[in-house]
Amino acid sequence: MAVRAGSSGKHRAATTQPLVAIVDDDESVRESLPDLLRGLGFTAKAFASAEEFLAFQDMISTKCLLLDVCMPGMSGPELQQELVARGIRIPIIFITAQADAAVRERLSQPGVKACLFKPFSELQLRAALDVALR
Amino acid sequence: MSSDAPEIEIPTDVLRKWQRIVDLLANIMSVPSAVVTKMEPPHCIRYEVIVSSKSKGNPFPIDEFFAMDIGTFCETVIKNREPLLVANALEDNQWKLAPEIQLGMISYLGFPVLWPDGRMFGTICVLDDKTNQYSDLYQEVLSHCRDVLQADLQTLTRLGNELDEQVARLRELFARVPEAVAMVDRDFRITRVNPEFTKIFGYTADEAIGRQIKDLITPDDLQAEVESFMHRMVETEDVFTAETVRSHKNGTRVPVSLICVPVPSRGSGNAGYVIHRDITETKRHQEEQRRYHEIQLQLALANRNAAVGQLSASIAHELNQPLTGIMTNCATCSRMLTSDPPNLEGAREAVRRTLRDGERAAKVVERLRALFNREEPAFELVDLNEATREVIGLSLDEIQNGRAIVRTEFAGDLPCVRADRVQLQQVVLNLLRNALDAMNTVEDRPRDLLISTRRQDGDCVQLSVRDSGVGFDPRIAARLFESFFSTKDDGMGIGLSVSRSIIESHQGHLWAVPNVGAGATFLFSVPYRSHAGVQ
Repeated sequence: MAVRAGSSGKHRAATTQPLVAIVDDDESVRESLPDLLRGLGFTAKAFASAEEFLAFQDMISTKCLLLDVCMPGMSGPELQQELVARGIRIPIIFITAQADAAVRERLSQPGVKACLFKPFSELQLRAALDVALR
Repeated sequence: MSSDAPEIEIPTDVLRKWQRIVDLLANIMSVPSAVVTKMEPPHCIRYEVIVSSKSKGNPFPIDEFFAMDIGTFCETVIKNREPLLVANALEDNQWKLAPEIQLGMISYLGFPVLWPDGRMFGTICVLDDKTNQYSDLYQEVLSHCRDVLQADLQTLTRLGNELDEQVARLRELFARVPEAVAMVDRDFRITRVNPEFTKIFGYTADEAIGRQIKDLITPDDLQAEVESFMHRMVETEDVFTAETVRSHKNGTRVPVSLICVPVPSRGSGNAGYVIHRDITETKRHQEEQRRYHEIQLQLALANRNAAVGQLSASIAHELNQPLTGIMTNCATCSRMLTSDPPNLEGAREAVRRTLRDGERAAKVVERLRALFNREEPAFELVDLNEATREVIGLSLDEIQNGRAIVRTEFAGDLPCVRADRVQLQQVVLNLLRNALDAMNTVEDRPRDLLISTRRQDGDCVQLSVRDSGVGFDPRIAARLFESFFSTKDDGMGIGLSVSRSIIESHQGHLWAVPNVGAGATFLFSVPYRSHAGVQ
């Protein structure tokens, strides 16, 4: 199913809206991103840590994971490895506050669809989601 | 008895005085001859007329010698060490054969003249061609003249001893001075060397004497220099010093400090002394010091660069978090306001979060400012010339890559400043880099960079960096030093503002002026009697 990011959510029934999960230790992101994602026609759920996400009952139904790189406890890349190890294939978009080409390189792993550098625009977010959910 | 007369030359001024005495004697006593004789050292087998009256009929020329075994009157006085009076030798069996009779002198009055230590010097005597009883008065006069001569000999001996002592002292100094001393003649040949010369350069006195300084111990590349030193020694009387390099017999180069001491030539043919001090140790110490400073600077700059890199990464991280929130919230807010119907409640919530994130960003900046203000400078006495040289030395690659030509004009009399060495070097480095950046696009003229220092009125030292780059608009001169103001596409706009704050923390000023021609000059001045940092 091709989801057009940016296609307005109001044409879709709530139950069919794909679930995008956000894992970020930063509260600003956890508070702001879900609202924007809902505006873009997704169901959004935010988690403050990798561990919290791993404990999420409905993890399998996650269509895309917006994953912070640097977090206390399990880091973003570690969570990604863990998911691969568990055979769970969720398209991942890394989000990081460390703008560095080397970071992007390091994060190019199977299942990683894009990498967003904070701060990112709505346009960049939609483009990344587009790639992830293609 | 008189086997070893002292070898003291009678100076001409004394001989002139004695001449006056014998002339007076001959005149007063109305005799044809008054003479002073002297035993000839070292064997005393003959004596010599050294002073003879300029009187009519005097048969004794100066410099005439008489053997000590022919029975002259003087010979007798010398041998007996007693005065002698012969009124008429022709009437005296003992003197019938006296050689003086052959010269027409038949009467004699003579006194022995002694050195202060009692050894025989010679005689003073008068002779006559007729019978002469030599009255008591005449005898007293002659005796008195003898005393005058002996007093002169005493003075000469004392002066001679003092001279000997001085010569001995000089000889000892020459032998023991811890510097290599070479005496050279007017052809710049070595005439004497001391033991230290052999120690420093490896040549014995025999090997060195007769050789030219330039051939013996001067490296090929310094021939012109040594020639000029030598000519200067001959042409002037001023002592001069120099620091240069000489070569050891084994080929190694010896850094030396030279003292050239011209000696006014008075017949001896010597042009002067060249004194060499081996400064290998001093040089090594200086080199170590320089390397230490260089490493210290490199470390400090590396640390600083690393710190700046780290800092900017963490600043970026800290600021990017709230910025993400702000951008996301604004995007959300905009969507909510434009949806149909507008979601005002949601929009208000998004704005509230935007404000909160904005405050959070402001707090990051505030923390940052506190961090920057904390660093305390470490003050020491800094030679700005030396510190600048080090910065240039470290920047050679950048200078070369920028195809720039760096010239320096350092004041020789620059006093040290109390300053944080590395901070000042940071400023010089910033100005140097700025200048290189300003000349980066210059293709139609040489990329000249002049770094100069000078002492300024008001107890300040000044450093200026003059480039031939793109220059700046005078209208923005004041803004150049503002934080985050940059005329460069990739500039951060912190170099000059940091530099200015460093200079101001040293109670100094940093400013810029456009050149009359191309480019700009950046200058700073700092007081050298500042007690900055001592508060």
